[in-house]
Amino acid sequence: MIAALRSELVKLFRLSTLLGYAAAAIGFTVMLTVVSILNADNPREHGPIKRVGIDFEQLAEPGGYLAGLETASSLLGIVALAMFAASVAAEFSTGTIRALLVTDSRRRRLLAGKIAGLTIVLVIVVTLAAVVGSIVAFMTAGSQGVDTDAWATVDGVREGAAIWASTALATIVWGLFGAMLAMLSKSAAISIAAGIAYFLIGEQLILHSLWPSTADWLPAGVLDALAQGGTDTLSFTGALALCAIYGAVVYVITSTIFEQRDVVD
Amino acid sequence: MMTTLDTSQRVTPSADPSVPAVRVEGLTKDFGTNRAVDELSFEIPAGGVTGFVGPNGSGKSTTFRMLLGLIKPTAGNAWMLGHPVSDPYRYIARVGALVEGPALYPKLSGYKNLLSLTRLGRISASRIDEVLEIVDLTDRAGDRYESYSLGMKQRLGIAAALLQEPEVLMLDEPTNGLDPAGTVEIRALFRRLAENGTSIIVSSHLLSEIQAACDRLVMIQDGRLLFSGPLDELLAAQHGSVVAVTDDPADGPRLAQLAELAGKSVRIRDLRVEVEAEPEWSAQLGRLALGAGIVLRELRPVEADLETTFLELTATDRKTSP
Repeated sequence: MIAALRSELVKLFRLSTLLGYAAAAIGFTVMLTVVSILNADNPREHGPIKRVGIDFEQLAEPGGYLAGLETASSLLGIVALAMFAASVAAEFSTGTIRALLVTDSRRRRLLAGKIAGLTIVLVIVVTLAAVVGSIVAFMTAGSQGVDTDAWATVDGVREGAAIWASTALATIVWGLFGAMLAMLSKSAAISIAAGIAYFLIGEQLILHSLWPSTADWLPAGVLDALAQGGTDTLSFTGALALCAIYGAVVYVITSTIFEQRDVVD
Repeated sequence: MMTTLDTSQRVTPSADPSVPAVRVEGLTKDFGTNRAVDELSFEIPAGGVTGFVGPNGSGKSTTFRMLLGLIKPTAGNAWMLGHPVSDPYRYIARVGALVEGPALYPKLSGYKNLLSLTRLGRISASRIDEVLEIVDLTDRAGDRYESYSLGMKQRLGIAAALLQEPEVLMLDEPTNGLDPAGTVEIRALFRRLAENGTSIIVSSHLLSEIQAACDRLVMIQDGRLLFSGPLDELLAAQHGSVVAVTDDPADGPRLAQLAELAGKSVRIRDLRVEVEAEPEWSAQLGRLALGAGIVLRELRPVEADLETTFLELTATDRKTSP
């Protein structure tokens, strides 16, 4: 797997690739950080982006400086889904999968290396978004009267690290869903469209029209709960466990499809 | 022009020449209801250059893919270097391949494309410079793959196939996009690699190229084997022909009749009288024409070539197919 990972990093560690994904993640995070702080005196719910309604009290908590990152977790998840899906689908659409498999035919290791490489890049992207989001939060909070005393404390660092970690974990699972959809469709456009359609619309339809009781079980809700550090109805540990199960199942499905598939591309 | 290099230091000869490079027994592949490869059986011994020919859609690429572990056979068995294709990991590091044209990462440079593959195959990065030199791409190694011409992409694909210092090199249409000089250089490269023990298997629709480069042949049509063996053996079994063009077009049928009376099979195409016979029979045809007072504008023997042989074999197969 290490060889496959090192090979993958040659492809992923390109400035334009990193900048593209980082710009999207940073853009979403900065936008929601600013919106959260500017709207702190008038918090309200905004559809799937639930945490945009954050009040002064919540912002003043130790991890308040990463409220924007937490709020943007679904959008970062879409970035992750697109990143993983585009990378997997491109191997089939460009035919490069042939060059890889005639160099090393161990498909599960090849996939593991690719996913590991994408995960490393994704964590870098989320980290950059967290850092820039924090800087923007510190710069804008004062002018809006947000109490930032708890931010620059040990608790603040600890809480920030927890938000960063849970957001990163949630986006990795989003990415795994993207990889699975790309392995199924072999098309970046189809897999990204299908992923976004399900996570932003499909699951809402299921919850509001079919099975409202599944709110704490379906993937988008669980990933959102993980990124938020748990909700009133689903604890962080429960969300983490469900995410781990979703991630494992999705990964097994992806690798099984890859193992069994005839490479005719 | 590609650099002519001594590849003797780079090529690891096959460990055991008695083990065939490829052995195929009843290999079959169905895609839904379409049978792409139909109970194919042949053997390619280690060493030498083998041509793999057949019309478009005859199953060449599908067979290549099965041999490389990219697709699974529906039935039958195949072995590469003595190992079953069901377990490609056991031989893939000893095989270099270019399947259905080069496909590398468009945004990466030629060098980084090869670097990615050397890392995956745990191959020394120093090998990159060597193979780039072999295919004469050293000067363009830093340029993006997407900026390459088709010929350059083809050469980089061949370089990628050479990275592993393969015992078996399988190349699908390797001279696509190459200029004539590049084609000659690639052919010479095959020869040098084959002399050092590498088994080269080349698929091409350019039969003249196959005839010039190969010493063995596997010929398939509609997924079925037409011929497998030494190229000389195939050509020796075929008749050449003698072509005559009469000065007066009205004499063509007369000359044809004379040749038929001599027991030969004759075709008249346009003004050309084609007599199926050994090339030496041209003297006899000349005498027959002279005796009948027929003036010939042209009289020449035609050696059996692969193209003619291929067309005859595939035509025969079509006629005999149900």
